[in-house]
Amino acid sequence: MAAKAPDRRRNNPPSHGTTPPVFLSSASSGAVKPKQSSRPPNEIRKIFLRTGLISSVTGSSFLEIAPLKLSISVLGPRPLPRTSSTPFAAQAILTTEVKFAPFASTVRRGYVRDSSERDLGSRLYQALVGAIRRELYPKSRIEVVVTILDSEDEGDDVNTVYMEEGKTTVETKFWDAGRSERALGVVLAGCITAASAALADAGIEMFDLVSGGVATSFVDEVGLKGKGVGDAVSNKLYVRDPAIAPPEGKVPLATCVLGYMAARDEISELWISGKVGTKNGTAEMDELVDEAIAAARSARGVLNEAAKERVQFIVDKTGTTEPLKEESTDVQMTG
Amino acid sequence: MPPPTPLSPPELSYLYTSLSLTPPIRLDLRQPSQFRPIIAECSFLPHCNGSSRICMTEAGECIVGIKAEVEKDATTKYATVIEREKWIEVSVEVAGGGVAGAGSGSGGGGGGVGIGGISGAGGATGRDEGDGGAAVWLKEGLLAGGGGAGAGWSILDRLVISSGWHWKLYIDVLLLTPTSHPSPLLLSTAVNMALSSTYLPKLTSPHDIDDIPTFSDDWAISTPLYEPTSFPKPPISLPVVAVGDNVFLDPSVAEVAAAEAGLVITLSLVDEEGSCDVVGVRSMEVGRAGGKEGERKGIGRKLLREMVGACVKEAGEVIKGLGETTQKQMFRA
Amino acid sequence: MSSLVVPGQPLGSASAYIPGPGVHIFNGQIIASLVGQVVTTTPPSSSSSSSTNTTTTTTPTPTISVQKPILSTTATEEPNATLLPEVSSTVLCRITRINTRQATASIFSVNDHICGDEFQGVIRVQDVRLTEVDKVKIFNSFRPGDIVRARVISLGDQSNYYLSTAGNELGVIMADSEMGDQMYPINWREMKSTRTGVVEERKVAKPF
Repeated sequence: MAAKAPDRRRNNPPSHGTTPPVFLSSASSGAVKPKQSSRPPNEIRKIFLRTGLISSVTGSSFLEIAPLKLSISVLGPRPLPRTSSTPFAAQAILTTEVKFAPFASTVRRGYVRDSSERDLGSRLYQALVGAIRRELYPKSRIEVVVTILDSEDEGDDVNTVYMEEGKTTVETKFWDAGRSERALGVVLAGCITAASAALADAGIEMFDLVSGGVATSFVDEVGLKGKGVGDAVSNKLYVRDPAIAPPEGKVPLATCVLGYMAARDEISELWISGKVGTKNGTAEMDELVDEAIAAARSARGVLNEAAKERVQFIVDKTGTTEPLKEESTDVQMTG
Repeated sequence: MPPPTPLSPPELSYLYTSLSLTPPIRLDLRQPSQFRPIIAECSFLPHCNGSSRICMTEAGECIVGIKAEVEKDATTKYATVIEREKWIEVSVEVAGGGVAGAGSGSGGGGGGVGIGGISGAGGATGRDEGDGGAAVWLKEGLLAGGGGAGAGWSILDRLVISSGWHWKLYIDVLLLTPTSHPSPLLLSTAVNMALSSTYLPKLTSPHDIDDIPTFSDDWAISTPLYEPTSFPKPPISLPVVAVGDNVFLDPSVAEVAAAEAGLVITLSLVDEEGSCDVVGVRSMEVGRAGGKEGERKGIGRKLLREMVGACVKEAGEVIKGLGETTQKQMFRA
Repeated sequence: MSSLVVPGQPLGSASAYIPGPGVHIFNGQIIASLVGQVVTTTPPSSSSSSSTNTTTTTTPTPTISVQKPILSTTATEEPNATLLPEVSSTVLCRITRINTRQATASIFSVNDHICGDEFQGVIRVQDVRLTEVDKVKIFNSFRPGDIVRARVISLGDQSNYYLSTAGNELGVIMADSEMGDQMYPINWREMKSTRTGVVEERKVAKPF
């Protein structure tokens, strides 16, 4: 314990250095683009989720959903910075930070977080803050740091505009404003699911795990051209965990992203963008929300297993089915 | 972080109890769906394409000026949605560099203040405050609203001038009352009114020519950004909170602090009767969220339905009224 | 026993168990709040007390808790990152600064577990010892660099935990003299240098 008082003004790296995670290279090196079309709309893409990959932080996780790859570190509970501006906090203060790696999207991003990254951060905060038992960690700070390593985004080929000499060929798809919401939605849902796993890995007490779900409603392209708004209700197609490319001949109407606590049946974070027509009540919105909840439920299954996986590994390794804690309770009894 | 309140824990507890009664009792004796008075004025800045000034009792006062500039379409390889979304730039600033937002003048997406209510700006550590939180949210509502994604109509289509040229819209929100947590209702009402009063000069050069477009300097024949007689109208965002099983529209700062769940719902007027379409929903951070053991941690589906339903049912009248006021002021001028 | 639970998973009725660490109650159910193993401990049926009280307690209510298993067998040597000082926990700290009113200390161990981060605490002059509080001088009780065993008496203000060394077993346990060599305690308020034999004043903890 020869460590000096840490510098609280910065995000301190661990004093003993870090070891970068080493991933096994996949056996089949020829990367095949996953076929999107074969997936039924009510099925989410396969999720790869692991915890405890970064040994120098309290908890960590790594998530992969098709092209999306992100890694999450949880630091703390650590003491609050020693500035006079921080008031006494009876509950832990949660901070969330989402950063796209500069190479994570088609168009390079800078190192300074831009407004959409900050926005994702505050959404993630909203999704998690209710689930953490913050009253158990007074005067402390829990940090969730998300690094998005790769993402599916607007630059994919479906979206390219052909500009030639003299004339411009612009496909209608180009004007699809819902694409960016879908891309961000998938990222946010992934962040929520992975952050829950990382918090569980850190051993921070939670009321429930929060899993993220996305759903998008699509309508027929032709049905929309003629009249518009009100008539487009029929022929609706709900797609859970939507990919960037819309289904053939469909245009997106609205996207719903939510953080869902399955055991309590409560929504901790909700973000709907796009038209969910409601001239006669909230039925359309309900359907969309139910689809997103169903997606979140599917993700929850993966989340549960991922959260258990590492603990199971430890249990297997220590070889005791009985927890070690037995002696310590005895000590308490005598003392 | 939810907006700070001067209320003590006993006061909050009292407020919580009185708001969860049936029928609930609000501090200012309003009905659950009753709004507070708004002073609104529009189209009063001569240098702007559209402008508005909104004054509210608690939230203070703000001015919005909208300016449009002619810009050439970006012709990068990835001239995609991102590029198109850059056609609108929203920024929120506090006049005189007030409490928050000071020092963050730079940045493409517009510096400014983080919005208190909306889903945070929270999680934001100290150094992040004063980012474009409010601006991001306002712009999102704008792009989604009025037909929105895929519904055939988008405000961006109205900004196209001719092939290769478009209007770039700068929406600058100036908060005259220094606050770190501007009310979402104040901001969105102001932007809504300013957009309704925005007129763009009439194009005099042909549509299909790639040269720099020319415009008529007669404002009498300028074209409105949103057609005054047809729909959709610019969207408006309303905060709504829930305490117990009761739902409250236009919550005061104290009510937000005592509430268990909050949403900001973006609506767009679709007909003369005041019917609205929901074009966006966002969680709002409230004081009591994530309370003690055993308390509600999120929004149940039934409550969600009630909150959105209340907004859709009750708010149409308010939005319609606001639009009519704008019209009246426009034609008087 | 060996099956694992995740946060949100119900473990049983709240009336059947006493909630221990790692669980919480929701809707009358005991719910896990950690990933780990479920442990139920039945308190040793203290037959003496139950027989004197002629209450009809058949079996004592078991305590249910969820524990996260730890990889290393020597659990005390691994820094426990989620550990926070609480009121009445015993801590080890290093004195970093002193003045006439208080000694500032850096807490590095809580209840015999090493913390992931160091926490700042203060020992105010009135909390140094139990008796004759008004005669205490910080200067004669602690010096920067001393290792002190103390008890947390309050979570304090935004930056400091309030510590107390009022108690026989609390106080300086390791200290160097002004010359820089180790000292050993000779009585409850003095320590002697191993090399030079110089005696310095400290609030000394009672050696076990």
